[in-house]
Amino acid sequence: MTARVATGLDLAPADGERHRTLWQDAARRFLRNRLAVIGLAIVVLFLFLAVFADLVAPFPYDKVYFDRVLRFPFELPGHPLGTDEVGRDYLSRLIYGARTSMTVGVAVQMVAFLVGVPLGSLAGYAGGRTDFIISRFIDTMTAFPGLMFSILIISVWGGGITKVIFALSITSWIGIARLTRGQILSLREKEYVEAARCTGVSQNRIILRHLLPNALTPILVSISFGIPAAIFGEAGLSFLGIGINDPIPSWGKMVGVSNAYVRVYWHLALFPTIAVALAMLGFSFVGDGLRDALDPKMIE
Amino acid sequence: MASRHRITNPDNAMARYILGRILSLVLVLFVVSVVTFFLMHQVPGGPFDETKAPLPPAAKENILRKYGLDKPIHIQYLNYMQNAVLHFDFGIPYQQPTTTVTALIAKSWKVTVQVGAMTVLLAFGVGITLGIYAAYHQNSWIDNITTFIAMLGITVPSFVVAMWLILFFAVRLDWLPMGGWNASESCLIGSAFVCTDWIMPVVAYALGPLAIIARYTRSSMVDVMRQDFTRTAKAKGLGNRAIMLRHILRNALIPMVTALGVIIPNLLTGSIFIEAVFRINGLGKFFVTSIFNRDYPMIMALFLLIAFLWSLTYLFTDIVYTWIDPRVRLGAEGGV
Repeated sequence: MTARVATGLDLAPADGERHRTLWQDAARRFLRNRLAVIGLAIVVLFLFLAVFADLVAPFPYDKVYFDRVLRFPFELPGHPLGTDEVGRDYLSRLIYGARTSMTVGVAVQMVAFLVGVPLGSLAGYAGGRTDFIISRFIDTMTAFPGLMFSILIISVWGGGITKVIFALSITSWIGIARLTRGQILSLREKEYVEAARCTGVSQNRIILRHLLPNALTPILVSISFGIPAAIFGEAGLSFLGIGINDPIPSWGKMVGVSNAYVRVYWHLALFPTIAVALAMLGFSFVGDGLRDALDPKMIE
Repeated sequence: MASRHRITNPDNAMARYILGRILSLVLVLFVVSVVTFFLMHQVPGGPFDETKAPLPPAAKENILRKYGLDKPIHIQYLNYMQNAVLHFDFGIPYQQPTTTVTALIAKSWKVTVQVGAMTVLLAFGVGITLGIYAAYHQNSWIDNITTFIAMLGITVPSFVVAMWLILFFAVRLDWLPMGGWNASESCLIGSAFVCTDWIMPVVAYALGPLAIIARYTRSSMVDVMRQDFTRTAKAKGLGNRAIMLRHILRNALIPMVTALGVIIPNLLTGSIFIEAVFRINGLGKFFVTSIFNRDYPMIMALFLLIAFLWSLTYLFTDIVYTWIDPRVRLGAEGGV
């Protein structure tokens, strides 16, 4: 089964049974999982809002109306979720907030993937001194207090979306690097890899075609849980007031700022809370669904 | 699992392993200290910038000399580390020049540790209990409640939970104090024995880890309950209690140690948010004010402290892990 995918050879049985790849199997199992599909729908919705915020949002995120400050939902026509403390349409800010959250989440995990996978593969495949050095490096970074470090970095270089992504990326790759190393370490002793080596397949090809595709499953799951973690991180930094700068909206910042008004204007805290929770829920469901769908133990 | 491992005397291997880890702990602290020191001196503006109170040049020079800020940065670093390592002297906090960093931390660490310890107790106590019940009564109402709490804890950040708790229990119902910690008016017996101002911070803080623990416990219980040895134990007529305690729980709790190893270090730094929302004067709050005040000695000391505790808990859980699960082999860390 694994060997079939890894070698890329067509080993479809001759007895007429339709050839199915691991990914087709996984997709089928994923789509049969109700929660996973709900999660996927939420994620797709948020990604859609993030990409097309300019078209979907009724107002620009920074348009202030000083005559419409702090209105409740539906109090004014055209502002279904009310307005904030300087009279900006809250629905629009929520929609643009999705853009901030998704950008940070995806970008941080992209960095994690691009740093963690090569580093982990190198350590796992090369072994010896290379492995020792990289592993010690990973251990050292694990002991870095990531959150405090993010705060320090942002206070040094200032807030803003790129700085937040950078600050959160510093520790985000560690888990993926460790995971990849472990995977490669166990996979490289497998018979099919030995077979490939014996038939003179080049090292790069072994890593890229034989090892990585098989190691990808847990990495993918880790990324799908890493995205909400990064969204959480951004919300936290912005909540403390040092993440995303005004006037760019961020759900975490919206909750933080609303702290001063929330006793009366509950909607200022409620909607960003729901948005964060939904995004988390969506990504966790997708992560759970992916893990179950890609788990070879679950194959019927 | 990794395939490379040396077969040696287990005690010897353990000692070597621990020694190696302690060496890497020292390395970590060194790297953290260097990076933090040089990074924080990059923070725009110095601690004695003149926007607030312009000083005559001579006076400013004096102050800079007093704190050693006139020397090149690597000399400052060496001086600092020399004092810190040899004399346990982490300098004088700029925000409260009448005391020392060590004294300030000594004053505030207890609060953070109290918050953290109660959070760990609540999270693990309730989380494991809920997880066990949910595993035993799958798809019952208690299972559904567990799932709901787990969902809430995983999807809502602690500071948001905190805000909503305040809104309901302090503002609307006026049952609990808005914030503070060990404030005498909120303590039932004397001071700091049982205080109502503990409730909301601990609940808000514990919900996230509690959710993770409950989920973890439930799934690993369900896993173990399906194992052959559980069926064997049932078949040979053992009582439910014995099966649960000796066969299921013991095996199911092994992965919990890893969870502990991740949750506890995170609790150390996560209290920044809780302390901010509930106005608790612990390490987390000092960390934020120190950064805003460019309080170099304080930032440095807090970073070293947290990094030290952080690596220590990692080391500790790894040792416990190898100790309770003989299947884990030392020197081969390839397992996932």
